[in-house]
Parts: sequence; C-alpha cells; structure tokens
Amino acid sequence: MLRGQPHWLHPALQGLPQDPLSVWLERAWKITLSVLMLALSIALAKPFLNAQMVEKVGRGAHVMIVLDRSASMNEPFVSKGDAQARLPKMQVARDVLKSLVKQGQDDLMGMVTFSTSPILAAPLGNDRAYVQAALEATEAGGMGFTAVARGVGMALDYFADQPVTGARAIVLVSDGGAHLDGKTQDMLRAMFMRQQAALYWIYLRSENGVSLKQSLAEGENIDAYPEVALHEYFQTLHVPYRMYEAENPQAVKAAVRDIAKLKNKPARYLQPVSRQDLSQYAYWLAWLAACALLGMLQLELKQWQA
Amino acid sequence: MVYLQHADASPPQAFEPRQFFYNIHWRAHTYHAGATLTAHHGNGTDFAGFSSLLACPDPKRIDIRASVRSVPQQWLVRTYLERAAIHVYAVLDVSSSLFFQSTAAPSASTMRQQLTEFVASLAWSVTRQGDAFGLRAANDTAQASLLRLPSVQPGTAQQVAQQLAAYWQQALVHGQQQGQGASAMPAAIESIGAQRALVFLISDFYWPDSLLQRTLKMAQPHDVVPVVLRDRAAVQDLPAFGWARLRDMESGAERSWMLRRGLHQRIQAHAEQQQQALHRQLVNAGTRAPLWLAPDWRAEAVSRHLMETMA
Repeated sequence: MLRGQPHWLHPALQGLPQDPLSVWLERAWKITLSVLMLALSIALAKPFLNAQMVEKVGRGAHVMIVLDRSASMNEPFVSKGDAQARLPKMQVARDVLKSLVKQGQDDLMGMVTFSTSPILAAPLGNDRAYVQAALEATEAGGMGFTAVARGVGMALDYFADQPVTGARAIVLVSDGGAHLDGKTQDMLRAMFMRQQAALYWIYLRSENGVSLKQSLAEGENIDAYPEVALHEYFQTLHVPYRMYEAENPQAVKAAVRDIAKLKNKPARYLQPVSRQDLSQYAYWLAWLAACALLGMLQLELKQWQA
Repeated sequence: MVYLQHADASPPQAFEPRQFFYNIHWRAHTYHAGATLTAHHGNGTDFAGFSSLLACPDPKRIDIRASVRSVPQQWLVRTYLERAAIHVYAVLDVSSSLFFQSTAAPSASTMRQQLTEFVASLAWSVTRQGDAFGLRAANDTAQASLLRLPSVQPGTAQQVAQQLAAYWQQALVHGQQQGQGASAMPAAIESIGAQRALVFLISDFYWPDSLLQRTLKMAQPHDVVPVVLRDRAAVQDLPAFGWARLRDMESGAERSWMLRRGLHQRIQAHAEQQQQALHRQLVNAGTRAPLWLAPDWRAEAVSRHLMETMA
C-alpha cells in the first residue's frame, strides 16, 4: 500500500470515539495541502492581467504642436534690448511650450516638427514625458525650409481616426510662412473642416519680418510676404483661428497662456495600464498555506510516548 | 522453575513455563487416565454408590454395614468413579491486531511474546496435570502450522513455544501484521469437535459483534475460558498531547486524533464501556468470566481465577 502520510498502527479503532476537532484538523490538513500545491502551480504558470486601456475623463484639449524647425528659427527675436534677451527663437519657443506641456494634466498632446518635410516627434497621447523628450530633442539646430502645409497636414492626420472627445487644437509655432498652391489650400481646408480643429498660430516675428497686425500698404505685392498670405488663407478656413504675433519671449508666454485656457470641453481619453502580474498573489497564498502546514506539522505526534 | 530446553535458542524461544491449576465441574469422557472425574464406575477413589454384588462382583468392596441395612437383605458393593484426562485446547486469534506493538514499550513485552508465554505455560500446566493439550489458531484463514492434535506428550510445551516463535517470524515475513481479521475463528473452534473440552479462547477480542457471536455459538459445547490480551498503550497509555493519524491494523480504517485531556477521557470511557460490554456478552453466552491477562500475569492469579470461575 502506497500512502503519503505516516500513520500510527492501532489494533482496534472501531469502538473508539470520533473526535470532530480531529476530523476537521485532518480535513484542514488536506485542504491546505491542496491549496499549497494549487497555488504553487498557478504561481509557476505566471498568470497576468493583460495590458488594459482605462478610460479617463478630464477637462482639456487635444493639442497637436506643430513646431517649425527651419534654419531661421535659430535667429533671435526682433529686440533692441540687452544680449541676454537675444535668445534664439527656437529656445524661447521650446521653453514656453515645455511649460504648456507641463500645465494641462488632462490634455492630450502630440508634436510634429517640420522643416523641409514633417517629422512625427510625438503621437497624440497622454504621455507627457514623450512630448517633453521630443521638445528637448529640438535643441539640435534647425535647418532647411518652412513647409507649413505638410506639417499641419501631418498633425491633422493624427486627429483623423480618433473620436472627438475634447476640443481640438493645432498650435503652429513658426516664424514665417510659405506659399500654398491652390490644391494644397483646398486639401488643408477640407482636412480642417473634417477634423474640426481650431488653429492657433504663434507667429515668431523675426527682426526684419513683416508684422501681420496691420494690413499691407497699398500697392505692395502680397506674394512678397508669404506670412501675410498664409494669415489670410487661415482666416478663410471656417474653423476657429487665432494668430498671436510674438515679438519677444513675453508675448510667446502670453499666447501660450491663452491657449491653455482653451480647455472648455471635457476630454475623454484612454490611458494604458501596464499588465499586472498575478503570480505574486498565488505566491502569497502558497506561503500562507505553507505556514499553516508547518503549524500543523508541529502539532503532529513525533513519538508514541505516554 | 527455569526451563531452558534449547540452549542455543534465541531469546524469544527461551521460555519460563509457569504452572497453574484448573478444575473442571463436568465429567471427562475419555478413557485416558487423568485427574478429572468421569461418569463411569471403575477404580477410582470417588464414591459413587452401592450396587449389588451380583451386578458388580468385587468381593473386596463389600460394604457389610450397608448390606445389613438393606431390605430385602443382599450383598452390596461400594462403587467408585474413575478419573480420566480431558482435552484442553488453546484457540489462538493471530489476527493483525495481535501484532500491535507500542513503540514506547520495551520490546520484551510485546503481545506476541505474552501470548507465546501464556500458551506455553498452559501447555506445560496441562501436560503436568496429565491432560491432553491441543492447539488451533486462525486469522482470516485457519493456520495449519499452529494446529496440534491433543496429546499428552511431556515435551509439548517446548514444542508449542518453538512453533509459535517460528510462526511469528513467518507471519512478519509474509506481512500478516496488517489487514488480517479473525474471521476463521468460528471454524477453528468448530474443528475441535463435539466432545466437550476445556477451551482457552485467547484473543484481544477486538472483534465485530457478529464474529464474537458466531465464535461463541461454535464454542457452545465446550467449557470456554476467554483470555483477553490487550495492550494498555492502545487506549490507556496514550501520549499526552499531539496530533496522531492512526490506522486500524485489521480494517485499514484511518482516524485522526488530536490527543488532549478531554479526548483521553472520552477514549477511556469508551474503552471501559467496551470492556463491560465484552464481559457481558461473554458471560451471557455461557463462557466463564474472561481472564484479563496483564503483561505481568502471575500463575497464582490465573489458578485462582480458574478455580473461582469453575462452576
């Protein structure tokens, strides 16, 4: 006979009393042993809860930052002041945008940089560190031309397959414009209409750049001033549009503050939760069972001694 | 009296036979000379009555006073009863529970040794008294190696001791210390035959009721002395505290006992109840009062018990 437990032999048990406490002790022993084995096998199988998306509701906007990285961004603002204020426009824009990113906790943010062609820096999401890192990555100096249309188009693409769960905004940070041909203009207009995204243009005016606040003088050719042409085109988009002309860092900050107030709609978004290891609970259970078994083992009779 | 017949024998085979005495209140039926009264007249010393000289022509035993008193006058002769031997059987239960051996007890006093000692002493006493000793043993089957027909040979006790020692060894080798009941006991008693004999029924009597009743029914024609051999460690000298898993040696049933004072009391109450019930059942079935054999039994005490329970 193959038996797991050692038993004391007894000549005659049939007439002797059953003890309920002992019966339950025996049952507890068996149950605990089963639980131990089960918990250990479950623990070894390493169960986990899959990565999940948790839906969160916050007040905020979906903001895509479209940052110009053309060579001209390396130049300082128009400023006659001291040398300390003569920071490159890029640096000013970066610092201010960083504070914008830091502010809105419930905002979804993404970033596209562009010079000759657009580069996706950070997809639209709740991951702030991602956007911060992308902003820090712009410390390398800019180069190339200003392809506004393609940058804005790419940013709009990120709204394309997302539900409208918050105010959508595109923050275009640029120091110059570019001519858009008719086809591109129509396409952009259609995209803006479809995505219902507001457009904020932070125009970083260069030292000898044109101001967009006053209209052009009589007889000047609009084609010589692409910024003006872009401004006029943006006004025809049928979406909320605002332009902030920033001639110095303080103006940039003011513009960003305005944008931060935009959180008018409750934004609904999904936040990913990393997968959860469940084996630790099984290990805890196994540990408890092992402790209980040890306790019962201590109770057990080692020697038949009166 | 120290009796060591086999000088080279190992310790279990050495035995010290103790003699005890028994009396019988019924008549022997054999014709072998012995100590027990028979029903037939003969050459004994126990007066039976008077009979006519013509019927019993022994002039040495003419009783003149009785002859003179008789009307009509005739010669009367005193007659005497003969004494003869009886058959004494030891019927052993060698089921698994007899192999019980508490680890705490010194190995010298296992139940097997007690049993061997008692049976050898019985054989010794029986042959000393001039009676014939026979042996039967059974667990779930009758044990042929322990079968002895009644004999009056002087060396019976030594042979029985040897036989038993060899049997215990064999049984241990064949693993009979577990799973063997005593279901062949009725058959073992039946095999003695119908002639009345003195039967020592030696067992621990950890039997189911039905088996006990069947055995006692088979033992009806005989004068039965139940000898109860129980190890105290099984119910009385239990460990003070601890969780013990127990297995019944015969049925294999398992039980867990969380030993503590309350349970000790309950177990002992049950054990006492069992003892009383056993006593009642045995006596009701017409046996003598059971002899409870302690490990340190004394021949005098056994003699006394046998004399007391004679009638």
